[in-house]
Amino acid sequence: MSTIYPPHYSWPIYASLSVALFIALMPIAGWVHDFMPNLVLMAIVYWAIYRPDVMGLGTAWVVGIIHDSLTISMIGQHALIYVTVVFVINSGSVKTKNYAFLEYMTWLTLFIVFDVVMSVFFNRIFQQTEFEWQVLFSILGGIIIWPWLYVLLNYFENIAAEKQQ
Amino acid sequence: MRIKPIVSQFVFLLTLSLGLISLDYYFQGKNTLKQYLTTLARPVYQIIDYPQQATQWLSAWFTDRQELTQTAQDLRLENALLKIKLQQLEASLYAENKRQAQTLAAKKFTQKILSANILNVKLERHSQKIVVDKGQKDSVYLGQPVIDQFGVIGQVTELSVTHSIVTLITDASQSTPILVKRNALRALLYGTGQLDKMEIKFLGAQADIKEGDLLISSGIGDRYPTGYPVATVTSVNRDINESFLDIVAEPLAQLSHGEQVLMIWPNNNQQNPSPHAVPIEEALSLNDIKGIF
Repeated sequence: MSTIYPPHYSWPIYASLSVALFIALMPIAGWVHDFMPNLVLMAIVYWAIYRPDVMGLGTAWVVGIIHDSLTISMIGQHALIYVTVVFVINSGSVKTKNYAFLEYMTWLTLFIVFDVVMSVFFNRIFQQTEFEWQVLFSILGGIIIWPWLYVLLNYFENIAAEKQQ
Repeated sequence: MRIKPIVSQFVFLLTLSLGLISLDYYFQGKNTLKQYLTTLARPVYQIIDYPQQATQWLSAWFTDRQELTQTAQDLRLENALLKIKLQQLEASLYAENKRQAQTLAAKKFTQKILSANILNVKLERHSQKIVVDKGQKDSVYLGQPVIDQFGVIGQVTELSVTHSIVTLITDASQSTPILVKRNALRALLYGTGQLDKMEIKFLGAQADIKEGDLLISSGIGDRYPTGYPVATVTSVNRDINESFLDIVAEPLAQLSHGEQVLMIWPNNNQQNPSPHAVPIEEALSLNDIKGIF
């Protein structure tokens, strides 16, 4: 009986998260800002599916706290969102690896919607801000970007796997 | 029944996150944990600022004259100070009567200012904030007014040792006490979450306000010093079926761009200014231009 060990490389994970955080910090204005999805969340979703050995609840929480600290959000806001998303994935609810593209996209869309809804909720409760329908554009942006992000992350994952061999 | 480790871990982290959110909300800008965390973020802000610094450096390098660069920087600061001074004086003259103007004159000449660089910008619909490179070590305090050469930018809402977070006047949670420069009509100017749009609410249908009116800070609430330009009225909608006017204004400060802001220490003896802060009139006299005013 052979045992399958998880790969040891983890640099694509941390590199992609760093880049996503960097983009989140960049001042972007206008319609690009409206369409810009939460790339950190999307990277977390990808790695939680393909590398659950690295992207566990603890890692997601730490990334969330870093995101909150860097982007002037309420401390704990993104941490809560990321932990919940990774929990849904890692607990076995999402068997995305075996799913068809449409189902794959549906799950991702649900996660992005969850992120947007929670962000609006926190801002409404704690900062008394009104709901702006333009935030919904970021869901569309996420759906458009996801296939490209998937290809990109998959590419770096393959490079790392080849180097490991 | 045995609980899966992942479930217990999830519940623990969820509770921890909710606890941190509550802590942040309860302590507002005085959350020590957040201060430490955002202080750790300082190097990241600097990294993000490198492209901008590199552009400036290259620009200066190509001129190949250090003195010229220094002169240009001095002139920029001087120009900014002059604009502030001119606008404040103009606004005060129109807005207040003689006695009030004298009182203001006594106040404004003891205000101190300190230039700060913008490190990061967060301009979202629900939250509009900037990070500046002056913090507790520079005697910055919560609620401190921040301006640029065109008008009021906002106030400090969160502090860390090395930098602070300024919430812009256009943030949906902000309201700024203003008066109309033309007739000293007082009102509150509310942020809408849009950089180019603010609103005056609850102003009666008979109020004397019209398009093009300059709105300046009234000083009520002791947050923003009196007389600084805030916005100009862009539209006044008088609906006979409504009790209040629908007034929209556009902020004057460069909220979406600009590299530097000025932190103000008003003369209320409540906060000690930074040792590096200089009185406005001193900054002007250094350039031998005091006589202009």
